[in-house]
Amino acid sequence: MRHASCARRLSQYADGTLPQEVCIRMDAHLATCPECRTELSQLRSTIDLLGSLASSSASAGLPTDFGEQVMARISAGEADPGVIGRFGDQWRRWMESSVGPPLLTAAFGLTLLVLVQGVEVEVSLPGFASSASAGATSIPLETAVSSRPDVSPAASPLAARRRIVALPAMPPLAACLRGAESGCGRWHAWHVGLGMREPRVFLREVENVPDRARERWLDELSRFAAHSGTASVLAARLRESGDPRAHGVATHFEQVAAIPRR
Amino acid sequence: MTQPILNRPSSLTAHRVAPVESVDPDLELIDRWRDGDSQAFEALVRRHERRVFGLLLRMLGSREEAEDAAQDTFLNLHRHGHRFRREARFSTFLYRVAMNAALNRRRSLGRRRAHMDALVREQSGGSALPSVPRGPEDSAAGGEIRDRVQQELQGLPPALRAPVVLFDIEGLAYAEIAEVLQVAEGTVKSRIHRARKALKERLRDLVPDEGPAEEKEGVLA
Repeated sequence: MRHASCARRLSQYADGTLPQEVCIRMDAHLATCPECRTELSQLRSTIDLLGSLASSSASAGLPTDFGEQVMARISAGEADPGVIGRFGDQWRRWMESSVGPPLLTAAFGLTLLVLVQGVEVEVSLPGFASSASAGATSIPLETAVSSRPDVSPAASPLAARRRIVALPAMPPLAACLRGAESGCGRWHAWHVGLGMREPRVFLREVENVPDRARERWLDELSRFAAHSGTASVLAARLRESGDPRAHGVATHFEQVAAIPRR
Repeated sequence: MTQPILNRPSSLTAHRVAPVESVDPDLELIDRWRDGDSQAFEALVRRHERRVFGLLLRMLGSREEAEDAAQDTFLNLHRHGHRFRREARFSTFLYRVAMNAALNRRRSLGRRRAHMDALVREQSGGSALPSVPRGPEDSAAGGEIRDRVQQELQGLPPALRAPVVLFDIEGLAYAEIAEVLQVAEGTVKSRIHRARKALKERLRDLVPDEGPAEEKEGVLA
């Protein structure tokens, strides 16, 4: 046996926990290696010193009423698990049950699938459905049907077999109020829908538009409503609300609606 | 067949080699406790309080800290006792709870306290001790030597101290220690070896330089 190999096993040799064939080989090395013999002897002395702690009455300092103290603290509720502990215990029990891990695996897999493959986005614009139910002409939305730009067919065969419906990002409303031209149609659709459904809320929105931008924005909104055939209906809904702010806005819609389509 | 010449297990460690397979005497109390009998839990506390306190004293080095940690151990046992599976002995599970309590308490002491402890150890360090007797058993100053060993034990990092305390002082087997510390059995063996070597250096003035004469004769014969 090599010296390093023997030196590494000296503790186990001293404890008598090595297989006999290893002991025999170590014996052969020890017979010729004074360094290992000294090391072994010193390890045994150290073990004996440690063992002297085992024989000492370490527990002599324990109060006789230690058990009562523990039980009193338990009675006082100090051993209650608390909210987090209870949740942790329930979670642990659920994970140890037969249904927990499979359900968690399924949920993880589904999430992964959605993230990798994409998801069919169903967009509903507030007020839009109710406008249709109110008998108004439906507003054509500029929904785009396209593949997600970040998932190429080559990268994801699953995505290639599936059409993913996603709306292009809407510009910020503030940009539309500043006069941005592209993509603001959906904000107009959203506001028309709001006006149909919640006229008072719509009027408050109009009031909140900065003064310098309000007239131009109302012009654009009115033209949108006129093109979609909802201007007169919207004006009527606003008047029906009885809101004192309704008259001016409704009149604006009616005037613009009278403009013939180009 | 040739017998190993130097394979002389220490009289203090010989009984620890293989765990005794027997019915766990605590199971009945555990069942009663789980059925709502608080007296059964109290009986468990009384049965194990001394061993838990002794272990924690060896781990923490202070009776006050050990007593507080022992109380934490039994409170945690009451809180999380339902996690005990019958795959291991209850005492092994309890040792694990106690060891966690010791490590948590150790962390909560903070750097400052640890620094103070180190300074105290340094000031009362064994290097200044006068001609200490070579063996604890043949000395009237055995208590002094035990204090010194305990002091040097505290100087070991917890990762080395825990396995050597559990093996050489508490008498657990490798497999049980691996279960308590949640490490591999091979890791336990190597840590015990490293801990003993470190202690051997720290206790150099108590450890004879040469082995006993009869051993040398036996090897060289």
